Amino acid sequence: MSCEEPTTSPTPENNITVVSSDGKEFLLDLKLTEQSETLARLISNFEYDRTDVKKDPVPLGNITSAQMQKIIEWLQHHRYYPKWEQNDIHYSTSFTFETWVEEYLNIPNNEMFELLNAANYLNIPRLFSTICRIMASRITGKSAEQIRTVLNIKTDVKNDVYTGIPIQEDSSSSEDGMSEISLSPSPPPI
Amino acid sequence: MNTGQTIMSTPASLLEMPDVVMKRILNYSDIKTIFTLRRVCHGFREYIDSKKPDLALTSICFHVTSNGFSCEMVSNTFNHLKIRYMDRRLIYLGPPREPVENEYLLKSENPMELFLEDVGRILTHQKSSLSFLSFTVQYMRYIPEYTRLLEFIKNILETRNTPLRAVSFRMSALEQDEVMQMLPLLDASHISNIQIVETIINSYVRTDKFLEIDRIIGLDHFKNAKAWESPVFTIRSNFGKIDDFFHFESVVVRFESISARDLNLLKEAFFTTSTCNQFDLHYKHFTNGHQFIQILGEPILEEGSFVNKWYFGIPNSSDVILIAYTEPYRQIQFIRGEWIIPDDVVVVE
Repeated sequence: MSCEEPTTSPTPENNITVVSSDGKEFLLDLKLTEQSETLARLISNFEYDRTDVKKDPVPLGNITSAQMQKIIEWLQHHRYYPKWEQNDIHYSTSFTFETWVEEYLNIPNNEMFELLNAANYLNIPRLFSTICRIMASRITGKSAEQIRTVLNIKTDVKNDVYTGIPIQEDSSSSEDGMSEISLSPSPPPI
Repeated sequence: MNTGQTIMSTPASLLEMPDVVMKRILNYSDIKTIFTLRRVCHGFREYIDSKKPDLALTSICFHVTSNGFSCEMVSNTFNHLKIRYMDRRLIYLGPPREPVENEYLLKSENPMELFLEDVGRILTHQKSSLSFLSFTVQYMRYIPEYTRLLEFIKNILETRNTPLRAVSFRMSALEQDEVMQMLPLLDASHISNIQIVETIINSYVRTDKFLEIDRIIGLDHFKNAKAWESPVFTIRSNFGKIDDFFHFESVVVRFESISARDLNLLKEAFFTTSTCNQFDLHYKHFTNGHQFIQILGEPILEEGSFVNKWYFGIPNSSDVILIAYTEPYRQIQFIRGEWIIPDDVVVVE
């Protein structure tokens, strides 16, 4: 609930109001909106960064108040972080996360997907990228069955029938669920 | 993207997300995860097979040995992964020094089919440029298996929309045909080093094998590359001439016969262009050899060494050209560099 404990209180001069799909208004510090490319562009287009311009509330029809709350928490935490630079995505694969991020994203899958959608809609690259990275970290090194569990996927497809993927002969590591590996997983690099 | 064949228990599933989500997650995933995802559900399978996410491997090495077929891969996200088909079994190996838990033995009705299926998928999905690509065979007696593997890989490479990109290319070959089966299928603008070896056991052993090289010389790959190595094979003058190799920065080559004229051309190439840095020339016959050696002047011969050396300064350059002639080994080397030359050695200007 960081939106209620901001480091600087928004004043009419340095904030805008966004409205969630369920009609709840949020006062958002302009400094925070810099992290959202969608909001930043909107503010720049309507010149909402000027004090002499009247600011209308911005409706965010795709985002619920619960999601907005969560997003503001993220924006607050990253308030003083340097601007996100998208590195070459192949080479920035690190599966280590700040403890804060791990706790923040310790949420059920459906909430995670919704948050991902919201991050994509508001174009918050650091959040979007972090969720994708954390999802990749949760499926890396897992067997197909384990991935189904992680992603709550129910499938009537039986692997070996469908793909002819072999069953592991050596039982030594079958207990950790490595039983249907084609290109076998190993733990991600730390 | 949702095929309807998969029942998702969450209101929003990964496959119902915008394309950019799946794309990014796969970007963060290594080859093993991507291929495992294919087996999670139909939706993932169809997505991966149609989008063919890049595997971002940096090196792929195919090898045929007494241990069977193997395909060894390296990427920036994982160190080392090897799949090996052996004795009707398929084995997956992790990094060499990691615990045995990374070795999996799989049983299947037809493991060879699975091996080739993996190989096919690897070669179709790889989009970024490889620093190294190699096809090698350990012993001559595995040539039939090797030929079979090459044939399979050739068919895969032909179906790609864009040619596979590799900077360094190394290949076991007995004949030009084998090289011509593979090399033209790679991106000609990307290739920098070409190395043609025989079997791995014989990779540097002098043989009397000839390589007809005329069609390779005609390839853009040959023209664009910066380094060439074919240390084992002998090239006959009706298939390739010494000046066909002058555009390379570095060359290791063996000719059946060279002449004083060839060597003068090579020397001139070293003095007039800065492209050639190292030319390691082996030969069987040296026509008018003494004539060429005489022109070079008095050699420097270190005690106990067979190697005759000459140093030549290059006008307006701090570089010096070293010519090293080792008659017993039938080898002449031209090397350009900033040598630390002993005080008593005369550099010919």
